[in-house]
Amino acid sequence: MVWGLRDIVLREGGPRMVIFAGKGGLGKTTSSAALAYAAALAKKKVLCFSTDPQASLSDIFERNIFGKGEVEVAPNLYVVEIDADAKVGAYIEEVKQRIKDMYKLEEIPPEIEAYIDSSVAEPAMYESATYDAMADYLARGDYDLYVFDMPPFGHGIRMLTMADVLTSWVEKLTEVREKAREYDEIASKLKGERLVKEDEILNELKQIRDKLTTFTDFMRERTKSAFFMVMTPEMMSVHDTERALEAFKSIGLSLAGIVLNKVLPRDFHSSPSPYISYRYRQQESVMRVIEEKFGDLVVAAIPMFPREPKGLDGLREVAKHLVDGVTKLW
Amino acid sequence: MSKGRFISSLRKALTEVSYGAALHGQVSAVLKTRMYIEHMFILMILGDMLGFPILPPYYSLRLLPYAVPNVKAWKHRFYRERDFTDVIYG
Amino acid sequence: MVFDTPFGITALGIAIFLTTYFTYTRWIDRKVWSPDPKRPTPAHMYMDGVEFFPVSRFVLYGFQWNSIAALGPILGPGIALTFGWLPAFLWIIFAALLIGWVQDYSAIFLSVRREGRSFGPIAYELLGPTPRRLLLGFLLFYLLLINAAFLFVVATVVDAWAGSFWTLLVLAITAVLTGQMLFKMRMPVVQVTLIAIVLLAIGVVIGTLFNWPPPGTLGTAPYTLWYIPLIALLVAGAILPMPRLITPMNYIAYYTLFPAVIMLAVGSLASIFTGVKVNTPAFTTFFGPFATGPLWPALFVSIACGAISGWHSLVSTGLTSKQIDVETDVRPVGAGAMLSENLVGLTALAAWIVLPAGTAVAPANFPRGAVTLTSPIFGGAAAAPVLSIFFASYMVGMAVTILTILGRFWRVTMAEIFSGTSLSFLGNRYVATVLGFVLPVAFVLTGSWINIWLYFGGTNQLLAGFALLIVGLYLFTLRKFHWYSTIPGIFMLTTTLAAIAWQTNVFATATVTPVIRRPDGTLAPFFAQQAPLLNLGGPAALSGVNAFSTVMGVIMFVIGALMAVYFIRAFVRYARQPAQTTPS
Repeated sequence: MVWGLRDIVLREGGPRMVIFAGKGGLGKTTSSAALAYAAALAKKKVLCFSTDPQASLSDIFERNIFGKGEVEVAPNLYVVEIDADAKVGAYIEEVKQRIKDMYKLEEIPPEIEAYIDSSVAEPAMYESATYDAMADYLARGDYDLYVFDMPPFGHGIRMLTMADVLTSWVEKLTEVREKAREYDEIASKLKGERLVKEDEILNELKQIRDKLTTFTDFMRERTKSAFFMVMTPEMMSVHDTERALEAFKSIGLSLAGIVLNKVLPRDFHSSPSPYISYRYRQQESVMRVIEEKFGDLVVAAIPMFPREPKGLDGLREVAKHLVDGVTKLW
Repeated sequence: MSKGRFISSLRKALTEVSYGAALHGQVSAVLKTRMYIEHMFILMILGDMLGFPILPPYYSLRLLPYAVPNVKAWKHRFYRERDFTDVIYG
Repeated sequence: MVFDTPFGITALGIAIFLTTYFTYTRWIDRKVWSPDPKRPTPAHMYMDGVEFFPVSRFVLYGFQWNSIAALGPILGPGIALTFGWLPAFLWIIFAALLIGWVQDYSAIFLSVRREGRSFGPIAYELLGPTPRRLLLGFLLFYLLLINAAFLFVVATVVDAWAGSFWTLLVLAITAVLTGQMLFKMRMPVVQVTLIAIVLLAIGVVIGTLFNWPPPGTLGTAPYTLWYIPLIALLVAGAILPMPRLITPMNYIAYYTLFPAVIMLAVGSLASIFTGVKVNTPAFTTFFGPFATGPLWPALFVSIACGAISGWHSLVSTGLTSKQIDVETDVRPVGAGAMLSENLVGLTALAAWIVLPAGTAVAPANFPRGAVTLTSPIFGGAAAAPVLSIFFASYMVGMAVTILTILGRFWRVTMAEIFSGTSLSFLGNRYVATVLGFVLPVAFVLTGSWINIWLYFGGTNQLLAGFALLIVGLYLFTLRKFHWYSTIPGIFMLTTTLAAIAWQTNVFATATVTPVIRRPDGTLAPFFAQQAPLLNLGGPAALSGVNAFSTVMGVIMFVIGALMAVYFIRAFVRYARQPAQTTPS
C-alpha cells in the first residue's frame, strides 16, 4: 500500500500535472501548496495554480499574489492565483482593440460592441478564462510540475467535458475554414488573381486547438497526470466523493488517490471533554465506512491542526503528512 | 479618342466579355458555395446573435474580429426573403 | 434574289436587331425606367463580394449571354419549319423587336429597383403568397420538362451520331483533368485552357474515327440504352463538389459553344458567296399535323429561347441584377444579350432551312444542316464528318452542361421543399438527384420529340408571360407606361395556355385511343414516334406514359389559368389604389 504522495508524484518519471479536486473549504488549496512546496524542495520547478476567487493562496503565503501572474514565493516555487474577472475584462478589451486595428475603425459597429459586452455576463466566460489560463501554462511547458487547484464548480469535472466539446468545436470550425480556403483559391484562380492572404483564422484555430489538445492529452494520460480528491472524514464528504468517483469514471478518468484532510488526532479519544471524545468516536465510524468504500484509494491523511497552516513552515508541516505520510493517524 | 486608346479599350471590352461568358458564372457559383461555408462559420461563432445558443463564447470572441466584415451581409442574407429562385446559380 | 440563301434573313435580322437596340430599347429605357447613374444599385447597397458586388457591364453582358444561349435557340426552329421558314423568321423578328429583350431587360431592372430580389420574392410582393406558391410549384414542373427535353436531345443525337458520345466522354474526362490541373496542381489558367482545348479537339477526332455503334444496331429501343451512361454522368455531376466536374465542364464547354456559334453566323452570312441555298418552302400550311397543331399557338412555343424564354427571367433576377454596377448598364446587359441571343436563334434557323425539304423534325438532323451551311468555308466536303461530330457534340455538350446545373438546382430545391416534412426522404440528396432525372426519362419515353418540345416551350413561354406581367404590374403600381410589357405578357399567356391545352389534348387522345396500325402493319403517324416505347413495354406502357403526360399538361394549364386570374385581380386591386410615387 502506498502511503504519502511522494511515491506517486515525486518519483522518477512521475506525472507532470497534478490536480486536486473536491468541494470548496476541504483544503484543496492547502494540499496543492504543500505538495508544490515539497516538490520545489526536491529541486523541481513547480507552478501552483489556484482558481479560488477567495484568494486563499495569498492567505497561505501571506502575501498578495491575486491577479499578479506567476510569483516566485520560494526557490523554484511559483504560484499563480488567477483573477478571472480581470482576465475576462482585459480579454474583451483586447478583442475590441483587435477589431479596431484590423479594420482601422474609430468605433466598433454598435451591434458588434453590444454583442461583445453582453457575453461578459455569461458565467461560462469565467470558467473558460480559467481553463484557458491553465491550458496556456501547460502548453508553454516552462515547469517540471504543475499543481492545479481545481475550480470548485461541479467538482471540476466539467472542465474536461468542456475541453472535449471545445476541441470538437474547434475541429469543426477548422474543417469549415479549410473548405472555405479551398473555394477561395478556386475563385481567385478562375479570376486570374493570386490569393496572397493567408487565412489567419486557420492559424488562430490551430493555436486554440493545440493548446486544448495539450491540456486534454495531459488529463487523459495516466503517466502525465494525477488526480487527487480531497475529502474530510464526514459522511457528507463520503457521499460527495462517491458521486465524484462515478463522474470521473464516466468520462474515462481514473483517480490517483484520495487525500483525507482534517483528521482528528488519536489522543482526542481520551479527551476529558465529552464533546471532543464524541466527535472522535463519530470519526471512527466514518473511517470504517471510508475504509470499506475506498480502501487503498486513500493515499494520505492530514491531521486537523490546532490552527490553520500558514507560511512555508506551516506548509512543511502539512507536507510531512501529505507527501511523506509520517504516521498513520488512526 | 486616339486610335491607340480605342484599340486598347476595345481589347479590354473583348477580354471582359469573354471572361464574363466563359468564367463569371463559374466564379459566382464557387463564391456562393464559399459564402454558404462562411455563413456556417459565422453561425458557429455568432449564432446567439440570432438567437441560436452556441457553445463557448470565450473562443468565439477570439474569432469574432475576422467575422466582422461579413456580419452585415450575413444578417442581410439571413433575414432576406428568399426562395429557390435564388439558388439557380450555385 | 438575296432570300435564296440564308444570307438574306441573317443580314436583314442583324439590321433589325441593331435598329431595335438603338431605337426602341433606348426609348423604353428613357421613358419608362429613366435610369439614374447616381442611384445606388443593390450591388453597391448590399455589397458582400459574393453575390452582391458591382461587375463591369462587359463581363455581365458576356455572362448573361452565355447563361441564356445554351441549346434552346438551336432546336425550336426545326419544329417551326412545319409551317415554312417565313413564319419562323417573322416570329423571331417580331419577338426580338417587341417581346424577348423586353422580358430580360425589364426583369433585371425590376429586380435592381427591388433590392436585387429574385423572381419568387418579387412575385410574393406584388401578387401575394398563393401565386408565389403556384409559381414555385410551376417551376418544379418546368425543370422536369427542361430536363426531359434536353435528355431527349442528348439521347437521340448520340444515337444518330454515336461518335459524339465518345466526344462527350472526352469532354467529361477533360473537365475532371482541368479541375485537377487548375485547383489541385495550381497550374495557370491560360496553360490549362490550351491543354483542355487540345484535348477537346482530340475528342472530336476520336468521335469522328470511332463513330460506333452505327445507328440502328442497338436493338428495338435504340436511344433508351443511352440514358444509362448519361444519367450516371449527370448524377455524378449533381452530387460531386462543383469544382470537381461542373465548374470546369461549364468552363471548357464554352470553347465548343463559342466557335459553334461563330461558325454558324459566319456560315449564314457567307452563304451569299458559298451559294448554300434555302431548300425549305417559305410557307406551307396554317394547320400543322395533329401532334403539332395550328400555327397559332404552336409556332410561338416552338421557337423558344431564340425568341423569348422564361428561363432568362430566372437568370436576370437570380444573379445579374445583383451585380449591375450602374442603372445605365441594364440596357446593354439585358437587351444587348437578348438581341445577340436572337441572332443565335436566327443562325440556327439558317442551318435548318438549308436541309432538303421534307427532312424529319428531329434534333439529330441539326448537325446535317449546320454542316451544309458551314462546310463550304470550313474545310469543304472533306471536313464534313469532323464537322458533323463537332456540331453533334456541341449539342450534346450544351445539353449536358445545362442538365448538370439543373440537376443541382433540382436537388437543392427538393431539399428545401421536403426537408422537415414527413416526405423528407424526397429531399435526400441521392433520392432527389436520381428522381430529377428519372422522372423526365419517363416523360421522354413517350418518344414524341415534338410534343415534349412543345410542352417545354409552352411552360417556358408561360413563365416568360408571368415575368412580363409581373413587370407590367409593378410599372402599373407606379403609373408608368406598363403596356410595353403587359401586352406581350397577355399575348404570351394566352398563346401558351392554348398551346398547352392543345398538347394536353394530343396526349389525352393518345391515352384513350388504341394503338392504330395501318393495313400494312405500320403505325399511324403519332404512334410511329412512340414505337420504341411500344416495343419496350407494349400498349399498356404507352397508355400509362401518355396518361402521365396528360396529367402534367392539365396541371400546367390549371396553374397558368389560376395565375392569369391572380394577375387580373392584382391589376384591378392596384387600379383602385392611388399611384405609388416612390418604389416602396
